[in-house]
Amino acid sequence: MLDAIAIVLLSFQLLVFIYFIALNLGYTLVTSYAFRRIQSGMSATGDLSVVHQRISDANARPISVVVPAFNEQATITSTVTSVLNADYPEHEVIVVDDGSTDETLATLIDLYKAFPIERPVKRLFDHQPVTTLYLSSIHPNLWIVAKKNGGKADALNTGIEYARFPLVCAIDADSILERDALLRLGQQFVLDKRLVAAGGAVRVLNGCRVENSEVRDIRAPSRLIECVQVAEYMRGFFAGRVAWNSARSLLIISGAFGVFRKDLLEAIGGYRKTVGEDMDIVIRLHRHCCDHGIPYELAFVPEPVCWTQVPTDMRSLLQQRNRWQRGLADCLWHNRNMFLNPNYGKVGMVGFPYFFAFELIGPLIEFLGYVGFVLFALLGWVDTRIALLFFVIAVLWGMWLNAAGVLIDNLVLHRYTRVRDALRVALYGSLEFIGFRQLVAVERLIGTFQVSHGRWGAIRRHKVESAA
Amino acid sequence: MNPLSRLIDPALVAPVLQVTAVAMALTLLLLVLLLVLQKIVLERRHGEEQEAADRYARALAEGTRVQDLAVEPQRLSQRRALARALRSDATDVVTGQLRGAPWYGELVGRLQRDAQRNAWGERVAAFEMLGYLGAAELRPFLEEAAARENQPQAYAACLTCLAKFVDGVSGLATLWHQLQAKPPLSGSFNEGLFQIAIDALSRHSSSEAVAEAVQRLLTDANPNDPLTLDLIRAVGKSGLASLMPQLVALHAGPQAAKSLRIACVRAVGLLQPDHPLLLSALSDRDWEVQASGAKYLRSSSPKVIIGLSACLTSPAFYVRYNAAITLAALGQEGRVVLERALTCSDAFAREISRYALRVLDSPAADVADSLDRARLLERAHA
Repeated sequence: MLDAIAIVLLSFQLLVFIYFIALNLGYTLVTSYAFRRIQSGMSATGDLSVVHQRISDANARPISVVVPAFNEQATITSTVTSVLNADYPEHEVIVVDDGSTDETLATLIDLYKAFPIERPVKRLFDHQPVTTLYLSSIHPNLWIVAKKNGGKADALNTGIEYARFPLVCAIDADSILERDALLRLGQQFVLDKRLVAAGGAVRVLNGCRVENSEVRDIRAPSRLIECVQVAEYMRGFFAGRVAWNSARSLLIISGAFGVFRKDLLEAIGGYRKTVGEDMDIVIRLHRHCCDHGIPYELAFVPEPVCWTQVPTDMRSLLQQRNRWQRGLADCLWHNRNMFLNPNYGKVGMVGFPYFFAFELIGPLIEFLGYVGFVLFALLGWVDTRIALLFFVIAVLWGMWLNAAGVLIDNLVLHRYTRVRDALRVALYGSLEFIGFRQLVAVERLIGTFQVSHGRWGAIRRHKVESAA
Repeated sequence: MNPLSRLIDPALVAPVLQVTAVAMALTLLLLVLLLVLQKIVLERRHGEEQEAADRYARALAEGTRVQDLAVEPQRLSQRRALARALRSDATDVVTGQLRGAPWYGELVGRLQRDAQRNAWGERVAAFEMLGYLGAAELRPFLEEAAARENQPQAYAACLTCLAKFVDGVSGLATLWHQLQAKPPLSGSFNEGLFQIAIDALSRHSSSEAVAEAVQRLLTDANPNDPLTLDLIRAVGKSGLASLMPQLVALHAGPQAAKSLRIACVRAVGLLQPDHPLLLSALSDRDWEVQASGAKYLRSSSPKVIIGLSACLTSPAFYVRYNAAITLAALGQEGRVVLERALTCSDAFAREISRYALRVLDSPAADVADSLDRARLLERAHA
């Protein structure tokens, strides 16, 4: 009997081991592929004037930038000013105050000298009522929509309704947009008429020096928790998304920065109320285009950058990861009929299975692996030498992936200019595998089972101008 | 007994893991060294390019001609710095003159090789540079490159280069056929490309000859082909007013689809905003054509004012919207109509007119004082 239990336990641990190898091997291949891919286009990304010329020559479609904001008084002005300063032939900014209870709205009205105005709009979606629409008297392309609280998706839908232009860009209210970001994303729509959505890279603002809503010095943060996230973002954007994009299975465009065709957002009924609204909208765009036989493309472009603040304390970070996991579970469940469905091409056959096996149930397998290890140790079944060697390999592999992520980061624009910053991210970030990763895995596991919770959770924000 | 040892022999596994760990540690070390090296090389290359670009900018500012700049084509930093100088608005380059530069031949040769490399970024940079240099002698090579290019940015750069080298009817036709062979680029890109080609052709031929070349393309093309629509829009932007009769005829054609009528209205609107075609577009059977007419029409004639005024009550939102904004832009005559609409029975017309008048007055709008603001905030939170 004991033998049978032991065999079952051992088999499971073997499964965990294979899972670990498969996951890390996958990450390694993806990272190597992304390195080659980004290096291949490096010579074309340097000079902005070429992009500018192409956009002007092509009479590129104007963009409405929607900024949903709920209690963002610490960061909102930096975000809005950075978008207003963005280099693009024609764009408007629509800030949607989602019933903030702090001074977000008052700050905006004061700073941008906004006055109330009535503007008829075509009603596209159901959302909480708009109380007042303001227009800035110093920036004629800045609109502020004050509405009752309804959540991020509701605010985004309201913003889309007020958008006058055929392309809609959604960005978070705690972000700083690089001056060239809209140009670089807008260019993708000029180069491919089938493009329905495009996302840019999101980089960590913590540690950087911000002046006049512009990132002046790109520096690595000094704290461990922030460095770990910098490394994660680098791997996620410059390796993962580049590869998913090439495999035509991109399932997520970050809510912090993405551009969409307004007509298609309208056709799919806008954002759905979920905490993973950014992933959900991309999946539904795939679904809509496949269902209606629309030839389409989605793109991830690493050069346009939006800077965002990441949590600086463990509590906020765990809350954020819990929310991401709930969002993932909800999106996969809501669109479950796409899973392994050949009608949805690579998205159904590759993207969905990957997200299910490695992102959704990954934390569960990881957690059970830890539990199994502790159980084996208690039973005295652990060979200390093998366990130690395995642990060393796991940490080294993680460090390798981080170093490779930084290596890719060196190839893109807006990178760290000092060697010590790059090394700090590579080395500090590697410590993720000692404690941090385990904690996050547990929180994600909890999130998986809290899928019905709609709470967003508050993340402590800091003024970006003093973020360094 | 430890059941693990029955499945996995520690004596066998441990050395394998040990070797793996050592190999990983070594590759990690190599990776970190590579990272440091890469950082140093990239920053140095960036510094060299900046230094060369500054040197060229200084020389050009002092009156040196581009062809007299000291360029070492074998150095990437100098090639890139030269590209920056050539694309600068401040640099006055006469295409063709650069052929006299001592480095021209070698540079073009290198760019030709770069244009065939695997790295698409290098191909993009090469095509763009060839365009700046005006290396029209490479047109056959570029036509071949465009035919086999699949990377969108490189393809776009190659086509732009070809468009810059158009110097006759055949060049324009080649561009047309090239675009028809590979359709994925956007309509706005094609439109811009035609405009570049028409501008390039205008530098070599009389305006009559340019108009004739475009007219020939329009005559031969299927009027409902998306590429034809792109060309029509480019005609409007390029100011080829002599083609107006043909645009009007295309618009009036028995098989003119909605998209064709919109393209014609837009092009005519750009060429002559008070053309009667725009007024007739206000009563088109499709609201999108009406909206285009309302957007581009600019005339204070009574007929136009009446037409736009009628559009204010259109069931289509964008027709009302464009008509109201156009009326606001027409000045006093338009304002009178909008003010009158404020009291009309149609709620939509009242709403859109109020908005247009507000936009009209907004530059002079007083910023709400603090008391007003407090009241508005209260209302917003209610």
